[in-house]
Amino acid sequence: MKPAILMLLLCLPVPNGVAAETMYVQAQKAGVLAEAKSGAAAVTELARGASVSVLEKNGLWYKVQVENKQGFISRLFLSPNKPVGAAELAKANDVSLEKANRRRSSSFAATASTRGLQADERVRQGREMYQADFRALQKVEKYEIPADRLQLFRKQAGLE
Amino acid sequence: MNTLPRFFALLLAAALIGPACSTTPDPAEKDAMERERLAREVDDELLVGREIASRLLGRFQHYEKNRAAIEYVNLVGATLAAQNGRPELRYRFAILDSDDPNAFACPGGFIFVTKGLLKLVKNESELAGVLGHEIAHVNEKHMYSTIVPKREVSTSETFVRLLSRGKSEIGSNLAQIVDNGMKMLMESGYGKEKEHASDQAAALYTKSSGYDPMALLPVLERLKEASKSSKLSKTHPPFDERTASFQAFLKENDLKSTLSASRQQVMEARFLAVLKKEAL
Repeated sequence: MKPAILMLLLCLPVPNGVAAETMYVQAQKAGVLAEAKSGAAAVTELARGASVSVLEKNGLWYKVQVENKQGFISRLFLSPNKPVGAAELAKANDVSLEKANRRRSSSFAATASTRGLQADERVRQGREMYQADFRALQKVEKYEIPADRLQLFRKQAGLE
Repeated sequence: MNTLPRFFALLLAAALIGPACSTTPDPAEKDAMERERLAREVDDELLVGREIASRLLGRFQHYEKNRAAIEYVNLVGATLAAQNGRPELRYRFAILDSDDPNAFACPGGFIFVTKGLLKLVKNESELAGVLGHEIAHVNEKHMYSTIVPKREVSTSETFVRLLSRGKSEIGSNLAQIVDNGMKMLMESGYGKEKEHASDQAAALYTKSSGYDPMALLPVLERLKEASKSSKLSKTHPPFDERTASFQAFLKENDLKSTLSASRQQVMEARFLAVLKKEAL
């Protein structure tokens, strides 16, 4: 190798080894288990947002390291994304759900009538398989369970 | 070019490129970028999910008569979603006015159970098992990743999207995507592997929420009987196979019911108070 090329390579940054994949707990809480099965004893319990280093992936179960402990956690409770709540996600971004919802909300009347009519027409013409009901959807979206009602419901039956 | 000037040119290039390559983005900046990406993805998923949910509501009609039943389904669903749901989504649960026992999940967290399904389940854990199965379809994007395949985005596309402030990439494909989603729900189904995976997820979700992880088993057995006279078998793999796979998973994972008698009593009382067959 020519000395100039060698010098160039030496000047370029060298990665500090291959890092284990970091994933974040999405569930409110999730156990890191001694074995790769749900019935196994818990080594430790993690809360939503905790990070783990993934050492091995085997189907539903990932072998992970948390601080100085190793164990298994279901991949169902992990994601490469840091958990972000729906409200926080809407607040934090220009491209937000809130903005999208406002856009949808303001165009709701037009959508419900125009698109509904178009959908009716498309159904009649055999171009649309199913007729949409945006008014029912809006009712579903508006329905809310108060937080204290949910808390009581869970507490009564000892649910997590 | 002589060797010496070329050497200095390369050295200069390395000095300029090196630090640029090794610069890691500020963690707060990286988080903000990740959130923006996630917001865009969720926005697209909701766009598709709303369209499909509105068609399911159009196909079956929204059941609104029994307010207590609606609240109960929402309470059980929200209990599971709070522990096991994707934090970036708001899950919605509703009842469809159909006597065929069935349940549906749409991208973005819209989950429906039919009146017939509510008549088929015999306790709160069984309902939780069904809702957990549907939550898994949403969490694992079983429908969304099939009808909206993930594609590599080129630099120029990213730039255009940034200029358009994250405008949806679904665009003009929406009608086709929605048709494909409805076909999946009404005709083809998710396929054997995804149904089995959702059954397994339901067991882990119910367990982590404090319900009986085995509760889906008797529901599958009852659904097998019911499928003889409904369209359920068209969209779901054979129930014998599904039951056997689920039983094997429960055994492998040492999953057993750990509900105490007192907790069972509380659940039974509220289930019977709300989901009386004659009340639906």
